[in-house]
Amino acid sequence: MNLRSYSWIAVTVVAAGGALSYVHLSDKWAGELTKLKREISEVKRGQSSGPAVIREVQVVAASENATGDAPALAPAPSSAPPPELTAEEQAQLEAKRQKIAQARVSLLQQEHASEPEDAEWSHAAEAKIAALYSAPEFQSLRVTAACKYTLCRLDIAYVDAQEGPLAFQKFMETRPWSGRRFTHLDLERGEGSAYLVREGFSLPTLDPKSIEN
Amino acid sequence: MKTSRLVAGAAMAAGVLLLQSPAFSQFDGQTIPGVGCTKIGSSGTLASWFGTIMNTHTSSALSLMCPLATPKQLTPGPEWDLYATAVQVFDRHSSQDVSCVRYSEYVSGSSYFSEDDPANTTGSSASVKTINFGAEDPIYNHHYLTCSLPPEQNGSRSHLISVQYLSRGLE
Repeated sequence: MNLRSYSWIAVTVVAAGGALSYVHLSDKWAGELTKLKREISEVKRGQSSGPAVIREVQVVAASENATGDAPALAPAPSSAPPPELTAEEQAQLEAKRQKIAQARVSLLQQEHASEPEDAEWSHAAEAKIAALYSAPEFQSLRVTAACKYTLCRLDIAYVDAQEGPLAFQKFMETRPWSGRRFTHLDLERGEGSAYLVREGFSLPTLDPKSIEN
Repeated sequence: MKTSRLVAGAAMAAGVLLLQSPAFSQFDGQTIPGVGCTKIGSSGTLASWFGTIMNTHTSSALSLMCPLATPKQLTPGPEWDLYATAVQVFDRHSSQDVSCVRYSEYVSGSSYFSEDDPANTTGSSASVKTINFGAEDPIYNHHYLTCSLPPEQNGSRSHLISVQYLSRGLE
């Protein structure tokens, strides 16, 4: 084999490598484009709802350690699987989840308490709830309802540790009308509340800024 | 000697490029085909058509429970309001809808929190319909769906095609 043949082999190999590299970069840029689209959506969302919320524990800690300045724009969520959290980070996240959950319960309590009744709808809704949950399968569950203008609060309680949870499960599978519902139950005490929104209305939601402290 | 070095160098360069795998595609939620759902209750008749689930009973609706896999647990803060749910179906019944309820649950100590959100199709069509569910608080550990497929009508069957947890940022 002479020099010319070796040259052709080298050119062919490099060309093949270049083609593969092009395919690889195309996929990479497609991923980057999708990431960029997500960033734009995040910025737009941030512009309509006010200042950007505080970012992940790891990101905030890293940026503070690195530069001491807060980032102007929060980074978009990574497309790669997230790194494993330390036990302390897990505990912090869990504490935050509990805080959000309790805040949601408080919000719904306050909203329900502050609403007036709807003379035409409230009592009819309470009667519908009472009729549904008086069926035999709910015998072990006590359900009392108080309906206001858009929200019904259903107080739930059971005593029987075996039949009560089964009746509660049935409660969760049943609804008097098509509306979003938030439920909180203390599993040890067998007591809790559910907030069911009237058809055509939305369940009150938390403002993220009210939690980010 | 110089020629062999040139060939070896080119081969090494090509080898390095060959070993690099393509960029991992955007990891955006999980899609579960209809065959991943199970029948609940005793009414309706479950049958599969490729990866979809359909109801072949001529008078009773079919109730299903479907897993809903999230790519990871949401992080309160940056991922608030980021993820939503989409269910793709065929609704082939002229008067009964395909209806679904998304359940999201979080258990912490002895406290149980749950949010359930119903949605349904309207009207019937030969084309795929999508039932959309909005975002939710980023606290829930796991999610699942229950859906009801109407019975077969004049030989036309309703299907559940897939359920997906997806990023709203890409809509």
